Amino acid sequence: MKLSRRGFVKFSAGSAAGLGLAGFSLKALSALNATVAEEIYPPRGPESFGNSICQLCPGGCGITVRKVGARAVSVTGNKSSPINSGGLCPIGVASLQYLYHPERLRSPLKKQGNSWSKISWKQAVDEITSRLRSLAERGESERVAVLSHPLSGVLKESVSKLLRGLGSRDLIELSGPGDGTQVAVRIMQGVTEAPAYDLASSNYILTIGCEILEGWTSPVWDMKGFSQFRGKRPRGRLVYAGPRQSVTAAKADSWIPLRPGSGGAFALGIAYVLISERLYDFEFVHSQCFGFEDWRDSEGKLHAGFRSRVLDGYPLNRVSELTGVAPEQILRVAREFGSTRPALALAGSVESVSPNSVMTALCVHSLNALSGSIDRRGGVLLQYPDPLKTEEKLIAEFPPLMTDFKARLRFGEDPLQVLDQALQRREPYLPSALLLLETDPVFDSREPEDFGKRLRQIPLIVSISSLLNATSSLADYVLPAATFLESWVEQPAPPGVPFSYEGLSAPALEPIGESRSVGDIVLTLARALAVKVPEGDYGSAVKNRLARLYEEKRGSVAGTVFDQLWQQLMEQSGWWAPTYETPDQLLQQMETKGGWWDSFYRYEDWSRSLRTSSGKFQFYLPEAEFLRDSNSAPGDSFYFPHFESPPKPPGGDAYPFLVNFFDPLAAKTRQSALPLVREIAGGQVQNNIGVWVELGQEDAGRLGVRSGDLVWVESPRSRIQAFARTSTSVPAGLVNIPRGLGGKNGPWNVISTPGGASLVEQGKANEPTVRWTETRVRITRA
Amino acid sequence: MKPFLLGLVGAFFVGLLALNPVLQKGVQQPIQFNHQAHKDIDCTGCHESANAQAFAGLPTIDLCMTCHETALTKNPEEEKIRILAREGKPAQWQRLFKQPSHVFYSHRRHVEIAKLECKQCHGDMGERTAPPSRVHNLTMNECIDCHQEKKVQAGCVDCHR
Amino acid sequence: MSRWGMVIDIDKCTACQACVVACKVENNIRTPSEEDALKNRTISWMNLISLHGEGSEQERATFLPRPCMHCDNPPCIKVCPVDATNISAEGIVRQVYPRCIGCRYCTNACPYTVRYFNWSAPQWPEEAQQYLNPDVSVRPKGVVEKCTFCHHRLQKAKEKARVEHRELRQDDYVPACVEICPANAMAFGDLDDPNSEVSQLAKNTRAFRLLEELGTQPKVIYLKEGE
Repeated sequence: MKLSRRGFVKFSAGSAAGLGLAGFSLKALSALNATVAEEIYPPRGPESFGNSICQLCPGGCGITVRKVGARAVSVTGNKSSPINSGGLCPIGVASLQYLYHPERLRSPLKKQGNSWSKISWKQAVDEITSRLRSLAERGESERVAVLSHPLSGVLKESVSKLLRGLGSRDLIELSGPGDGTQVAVRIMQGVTEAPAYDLASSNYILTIGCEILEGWTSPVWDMKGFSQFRGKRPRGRLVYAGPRQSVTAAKADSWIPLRPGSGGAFALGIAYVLISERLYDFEFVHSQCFGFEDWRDSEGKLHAGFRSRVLDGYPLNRVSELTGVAPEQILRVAREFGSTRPALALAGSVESVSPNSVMTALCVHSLNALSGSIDRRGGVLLQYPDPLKTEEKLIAEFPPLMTDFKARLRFGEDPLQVLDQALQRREPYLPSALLLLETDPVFDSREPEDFGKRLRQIPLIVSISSLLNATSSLADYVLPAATFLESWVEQPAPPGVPFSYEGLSAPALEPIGESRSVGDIVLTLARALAVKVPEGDYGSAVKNRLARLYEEKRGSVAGTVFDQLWQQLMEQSGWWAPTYETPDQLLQQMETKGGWWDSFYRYEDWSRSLRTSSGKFQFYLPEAEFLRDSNSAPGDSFYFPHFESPPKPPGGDAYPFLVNFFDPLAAKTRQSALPLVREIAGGQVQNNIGVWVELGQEDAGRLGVRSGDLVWVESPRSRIQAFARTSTSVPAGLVNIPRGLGGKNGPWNVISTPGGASLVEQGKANEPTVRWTETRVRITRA
Repeated sequence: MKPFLLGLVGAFFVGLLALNPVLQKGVQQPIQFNHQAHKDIDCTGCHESANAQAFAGLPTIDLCMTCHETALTKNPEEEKIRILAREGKPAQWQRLFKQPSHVFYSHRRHVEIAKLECKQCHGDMGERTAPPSRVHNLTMNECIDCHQEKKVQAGCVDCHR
Repeated sequence: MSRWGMVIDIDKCTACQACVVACKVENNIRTPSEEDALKNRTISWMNLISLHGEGSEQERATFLPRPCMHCDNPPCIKVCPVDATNISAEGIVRQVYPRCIGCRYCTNACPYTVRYFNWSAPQWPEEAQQYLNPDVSVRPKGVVEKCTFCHHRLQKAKEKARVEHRELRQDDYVPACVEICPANAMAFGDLDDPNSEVSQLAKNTRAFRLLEELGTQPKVIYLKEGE
């Protein structure tokens, strides 16, 4: 081709344009590339490991943190912990989302008008303590209250001293709904120690509404026990009786659907068979029990015993009517239970089975006596107490703020509800100031908005919190708390384990921002108020306390499963060969391994395990008087494990469904704002978002509702939105709803919307505030 | 019109190739480090993790200060070490060899186990008197060529993570 | 050459989902936005599936932790047009993200539904990026991802063994799910080693594999409930 001059000009112009275009395209491409393929590139660094003890529930699992550089990238179980020996529950694994939560607080905050301003620690401490001092000058500081999870050790001692320095005794420990079984064991055995159920060695477990696999005592400890129970030969058999096909029910060898609230009757039906077919442990019942047979008292009056009362009152036909279980089925379970040793009977908590969890638990615990499973291998053991006497009892009396509603706690009521009552009625008084230690009662309450308003009546609220959560958002001052991964941790023996234990761990990471450990913040506040508290920082105070374990001359530093077996063997043969020679060595080893424990257990130690006035296991329970209300059975019969039908729930035809509330494992965390935990909350029913309601297949068909549909659940009190899950395992007329898990506003949201609990009717005076088993609802498509 | 189009298309493609390096931003190091002057020190003297970790590591000012606490030369670049140390600031070294984020490369595997010399991948770095101004983006071909030459297996997930 | 496999004892499993969460943390699996969750676009390499009995069996429910089966004869790799997924010499069904074109043929071919498509770009709050594992890449939008038996752990374990001049030991390499299991319900190891825990357990009379009749030859073996 021949190029003309004109052509050449054109060519040059084209070339210039092409070059410009190429440059522009490159620029545009790289910009586009940067936005489209914005890569997240987690930085590398040297790998290291540190130990800590999980504080997201009371379970006390030892954990190992894997770090890359200064970042924590995974959490696994500490193989040396005698509680979880390497395993960990999903909540513990998710704790990194708590550590690196977008709402983590980095500096002290002060509320000014409607906004927050950052202030220095010095200013925060000065202002808070000067306000507390002026309360003291006006004589109002005895109404200062502290709200926390159950405390122990140095922290409890320091908080108690701080309060006592102000002249207050209002330390309110939020423990969640009380477990009736603890009270039952206390009354029947006369003991104060926490019961520990030996699942691993048991051969037959009958749970009556007890969710052993969904965060019952210490979650991983329970799971390990279950795993051993299943793994041994002959394999342990598990029977679950309760209204919902829970995880425990599904894992059981058989599930017996039970009418809600009828657990006590079912237990007495089992007792009827055990007694009439003479399948109970004669030796134990006749030598170690009181009130089984009829007896004459010192005045010569004849009392009918447990045996006669059960035989008279709970024949199978009647029990079948009360529980909705066929007589043959009761008979079958009772015969299995009676002919297998060791066998355990476990009662559920307040909301799932009975309006009176304590009475249900008394009925169920009497089965343990009948099968002779008290203080024996595979039965109900008792935890050995904390070896270190501290000044924890400083203010052990009942918090005066709760006194007017003390009676409610007998129903196994959640202390939070009791506090709510006190705030609502301003009785006995309104606190003059409130200090919150790592608690989020607004999130946990049934009605976040209303409870928040009631809380806000308190003139000064100081929240020590790692997250700017629902409650700290309402506070006047927020002090940034380091998480347990960034703090010294002192851990007492968790519920459910039989041995004494003291956990110790050093901070696994540097605290984020200016956050400080809760212990150090309390010590700082106390010292600023001139209250005498343990010397040094929190870590050294904890170590000073635990160093006293050296004087105990028993137990051992936590170790691997092999170490544990070895120690047990040694102790049982009467040897004690410590791995340490000085208190410092003991502390150092505890820090590396995670704690100290004493695996020793003496079975059938009746002088320890049966401490009632008769020195025996009591079927006759005059102490149960405190449970009596106006509807209760008259006279002597109230003093025996017995069953009273729950009142018929109000609502009638307009609200056709009875609600059975339950708590999945994911709801057991103290930090609800972890996306990973929310994601798995409904995993077993294939639900991975928000609250759900489980409906019977036929009921759902009638309502035109399918699995996954969004529905309104409405009670006379309020209504919530939930995702429907249909199942053939839900009987007609019943729906299952998780109590908590409110909030569906994005994965990281810390502000709550009401969950299932808000549907529940408020009780009348001197009744449980929350009548979990008596709520009726209607369901409509949303 | 034809010559215009011809020029446009031709220059566009030539431009894509020619302009790419020109438009890339040069790399500015905090100190004009002279590798050659440090020839007597082993590579792992400063890149401390090269035989022990996945990453080789870049020296901290503290490490530099172990030798350069007092001046060894009159070079103003050397003085920068002590200035940074005085101000308590870290040395913001820029990485010069990069791989895509989905690649798992381990220095330990290549240095400690395979006993490769650093220059196998890093070329004449040790001879340089000043740091290069361009990033070297490592490509899969460079990896595969060497693996084939040395007859070392390369399964996908040995490197792709 | 090892042939890696897993045994899950359903009799011991407590359906707690620690494996599910541990997998997500180990492998940088995104938390879904509310919108994604509603569209069932949640990614869960290890997932708990529940099977509910019908009719007279309605009182039964079974929960199965379900990772990738790492089939010896995987249907997914046959449909991949770009060789982005294939099986390694040690039996791990792998996925090469930058090669994946997002056609999702494999997602449809897998009878166990273990393959997940990234419908949106990964979103991590800046603070939460802190806990990302540097051993695993964060997958971009538009590619398929799946369980890898935590193969990055195998690479590290092999490297460590070679530096220490020794053979790979049984407990050197376990995936995150197996490591965390609080009920000791999972075992992992070499199915070709007759002495390994997994090959011992695989001989158990309770052993079964999911959808075995399809000829996929899964290397995840379940032990059913009961004696």
